[in-house]
Amino acid sequence: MISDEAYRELEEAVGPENVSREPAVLDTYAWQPFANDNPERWVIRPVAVAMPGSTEEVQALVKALGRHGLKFKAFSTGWGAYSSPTSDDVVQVDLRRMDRIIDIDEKNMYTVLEPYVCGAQLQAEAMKVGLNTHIIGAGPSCSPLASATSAFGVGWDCVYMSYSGRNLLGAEWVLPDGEVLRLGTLGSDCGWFCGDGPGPSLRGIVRGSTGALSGLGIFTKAAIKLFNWPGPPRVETDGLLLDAQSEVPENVRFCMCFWPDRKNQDEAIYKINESELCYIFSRTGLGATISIAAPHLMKHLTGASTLRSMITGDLKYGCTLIMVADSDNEMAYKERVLKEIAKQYGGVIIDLAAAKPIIRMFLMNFLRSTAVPVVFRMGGQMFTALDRNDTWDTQMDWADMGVEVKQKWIDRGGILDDMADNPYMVSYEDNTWGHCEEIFQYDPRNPDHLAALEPLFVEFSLEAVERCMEPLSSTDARLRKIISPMMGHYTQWQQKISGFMDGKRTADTGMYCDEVDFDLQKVDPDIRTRFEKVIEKFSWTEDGPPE
Amino acid sequence: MALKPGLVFNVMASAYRHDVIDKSMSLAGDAMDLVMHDTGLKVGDLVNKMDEARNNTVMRIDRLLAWSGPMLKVAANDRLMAGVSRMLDFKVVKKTTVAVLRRAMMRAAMGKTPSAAGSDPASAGLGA
Repeated sequence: MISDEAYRELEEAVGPENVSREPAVLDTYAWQPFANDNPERWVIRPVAVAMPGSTEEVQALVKALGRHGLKFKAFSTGWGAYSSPTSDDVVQVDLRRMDRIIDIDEKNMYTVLEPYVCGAQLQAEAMKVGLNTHIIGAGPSCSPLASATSAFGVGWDCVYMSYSGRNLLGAEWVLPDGEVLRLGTLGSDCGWFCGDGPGPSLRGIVRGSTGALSGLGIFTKAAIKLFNWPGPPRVETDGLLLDAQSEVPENVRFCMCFWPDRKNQDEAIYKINESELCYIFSRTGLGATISIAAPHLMKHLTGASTLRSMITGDLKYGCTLIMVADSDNEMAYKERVLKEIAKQYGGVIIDLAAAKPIIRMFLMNFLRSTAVPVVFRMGGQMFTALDRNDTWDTQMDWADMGVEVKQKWIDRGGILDDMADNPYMVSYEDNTWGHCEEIFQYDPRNPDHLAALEPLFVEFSLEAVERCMEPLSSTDARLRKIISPMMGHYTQWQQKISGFMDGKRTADTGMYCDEVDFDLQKVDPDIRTRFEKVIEKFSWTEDGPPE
Repeated sequence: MALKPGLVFNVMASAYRHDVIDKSMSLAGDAMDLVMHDTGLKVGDLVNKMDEARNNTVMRIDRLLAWSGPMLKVAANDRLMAGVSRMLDFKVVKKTTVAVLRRAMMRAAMGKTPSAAGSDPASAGLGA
């Protein structure tokens, strides 16, 4: 509940028409399409929602909340439960009125934008001047500012356009006490071109690898790096998703590659990316593609032993890539290099340019990452098991492990059968490092599936820790409490930063640095024992890391 | 009868080495374009039709594949694939291939052949 006095102050901060505590309105924020693992609970309902229209209004709002002992949680475009409150004293700060692309600096290749600009909007504007933006895997409806400043940042285009946090060139940041901090050159009135300095950079505090998910304030503007787009100012497209038909530019190639085994695949992928061929690069299991495009067919295929072994065996090692070029000569060079790599590692390259209806359908689904919603088709929900971004080899190890864990839970009826091999893999910055998350699909109406979610999460987390990798922990206060002692007690440092910047505890830090106990009773006893052993083995003492 | 691992890949690799994949992708694309033109269906509709395949259809294909080992072994032969590639350069072969593919797609998508759908089968493969 929010007091009348506090509510009045929120109205004064942003205008009465931009605040609500109507239960029906609040419930629209309490369901998000991803990571809503409990259909009864949804996520915690905010006590009110406020929609500021400017940095000044955000400041006034945050100060008002501080005076009344309430917390804030910022919401840009939303998507996952990660933008939702984690306790029952939180006001949802919906930033949808801050929706302007303030500037696109064509010469210096960056944009300045507000939180509610989505990836598709920015891409459409950037393409008009021969530029493009990184779009995250959650899709083009998501906010580039949110992922650059506060949350995750992987996408199919990472091979060329990097990880969201790496593209942040400056930010305007309303701190939990309501003061504004301008980062980098912006803070010295020198414009938006550099996000760091003078002096020590705050980039690590702003977001680290994952982001503070509004746990350290609200970002109201950001400068984000843009990238070359040699295609037309507008890719004419009719239809959506599987019905989409785009005019394919002459200087674009869309290829599917298959390799005889893992060793050849990995070496070829290193070569492909070191040769700087790709604009888009991803590796996804063929079964995964079928499961999202034709989920009913998938159910039949899982029982067809020969087809199944062909998909998970002969066609297991593959990748998809898009190449673009500024000239015919550049494209000819790229095609020759790709063919040479295929020859060297026994690969098969399928250039979809010849199959016009197919490439017309695929093109913007990949370039704009619009294909993402179809992943919900099979069961209605999906979740993912992440390790830490690292070399391609380590990510392939994670993918192989994921198949083993998933197959066990598929056999138990805990998740849907997508032939188990369903990794979402990308390469960052021409394979400087790689990413793998193992996707699993489930039906939230199925009690067996809901019961399997937590044990599966624990098992994946254990597998990551045993490999000295960090599991998907940043958003789970229970797991953070377990793994923080194994990673130099990082939560304690985050809590010190939070305490320094947020004395009144106005930010919702549930997904940033809070810790709560993990009840492992639901977990298989063998897994629990393994977890206890690994905790004992890897935990730091006061003297430092374990021997 | 289980299919020997790697056999399908070997056929694909041989087809790739001799440009058969590129050539057949082009012909499949032309056939698909004709089907879409004739029926008004979109790619998404075709994918959805594929999604509606019945279990017995899938199992029939599975059995066929399971028994096709010897044939695949032959198909993976480079000399044979080189011959197929050369054949696919002939206009008449291209037209026939497109017509066959178009007919099969039409039957799968609409349950009828191109002529029954009101199109002139002789025009099949014009784009080839």
